[in-house]
Amino acid sequence: MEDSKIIELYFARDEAAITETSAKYGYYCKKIAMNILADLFESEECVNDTYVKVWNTVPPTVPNIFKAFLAKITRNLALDRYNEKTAKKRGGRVYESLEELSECIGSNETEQELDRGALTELINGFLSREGELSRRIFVRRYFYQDSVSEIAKRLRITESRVKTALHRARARLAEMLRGEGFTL
Amino acid sequence: MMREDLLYSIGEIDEKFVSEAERPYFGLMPKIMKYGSIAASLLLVMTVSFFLIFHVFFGVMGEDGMGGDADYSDGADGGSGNMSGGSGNTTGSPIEKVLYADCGSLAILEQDAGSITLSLRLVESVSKIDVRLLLNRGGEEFVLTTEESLEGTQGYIGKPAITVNGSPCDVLPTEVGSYTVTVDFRGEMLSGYSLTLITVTPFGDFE
Repeated sequence: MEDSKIIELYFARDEAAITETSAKYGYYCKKIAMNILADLFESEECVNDTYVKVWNTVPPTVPNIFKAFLAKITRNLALDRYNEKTAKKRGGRVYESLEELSECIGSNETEQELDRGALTELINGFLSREGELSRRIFVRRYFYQDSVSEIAKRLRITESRVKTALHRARARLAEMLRGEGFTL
Repeated sequence: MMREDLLYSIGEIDEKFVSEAERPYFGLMPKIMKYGSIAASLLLVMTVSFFLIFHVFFGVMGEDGMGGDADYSDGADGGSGNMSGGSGNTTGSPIEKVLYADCGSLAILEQDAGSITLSLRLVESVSKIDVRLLLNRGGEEFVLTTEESLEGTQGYIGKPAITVNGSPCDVLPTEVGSYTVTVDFRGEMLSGYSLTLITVTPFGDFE
């Protein structure tokens, strides 16, 4: 079923919307959740939470790109679950991502109160200025939480090239954030 | 500021970037493939030219007369000299490549700018058959995902007509059996486009 038809079902409050979403994007959402949670049961629960959130959000929200809309909700719910379950435990892809992103932004919890919306806008600007390959690598790594080897395989490049691209992108992001007055 | 803030903020990035990262990337074709494909094209042109020149200079066509062409006619003409030779395909076209997987086999029977006919044999049922197409318009190429391939994408193509063993169908077959599947975009595709089948998962790449 086309995305527009599924969204119409949500607007009509027809529960078939969830069935259709699950049939079309269930695996996609589960993969995103699995990348973060590394637990099948947790991931399935997270995907179910995604459906509930979409049900409660649409309407009034009209997703621009439904697949990406689902991805964002799934990712954020999975990150919330990750933080709840592994507050003190270290490990997994999210921990790796956090360690890498520390280069850009630091890890001091006492630092400034942050407007995440403003930061998102800055990241959007940063991504729009990046080359396509670098942008894809960055999003695969820090949005989808793909491993370096998965990115290399997907883009048909070497792992060292992925690592180099990520390193340079983080350096450019750090420089941009510094320029915008974010403390590091 | 915390690095967690950054990770969450990345989760709110523009959906076009999220969508872009999900699409297949063909921007970095290895040089060997790039130059290899050029070399293969040149070789093909040279081979065809050689045979044409050979026919013209040595008068082979004249000796054989028009009867020689009958061997290359397709099955629709009812000629007995069909080249497909017991492959079990229903269209009478030669099979260029067969892909095998644990669940069965797949071959392209016919392909033109607007439709693709496949011979699909499943020895075990599959949850889904993933089809990716390359859409070309004057050298500009777009890769269509499965959803786009089979449901259409606004601006490029509409929903294709899928025929399974001669009967109209909404989806590709996933149960055990032998099928002749046609995915026909004619009438829905904008003019100037041509299609190439790239991948049919779980069978692999056609490139």
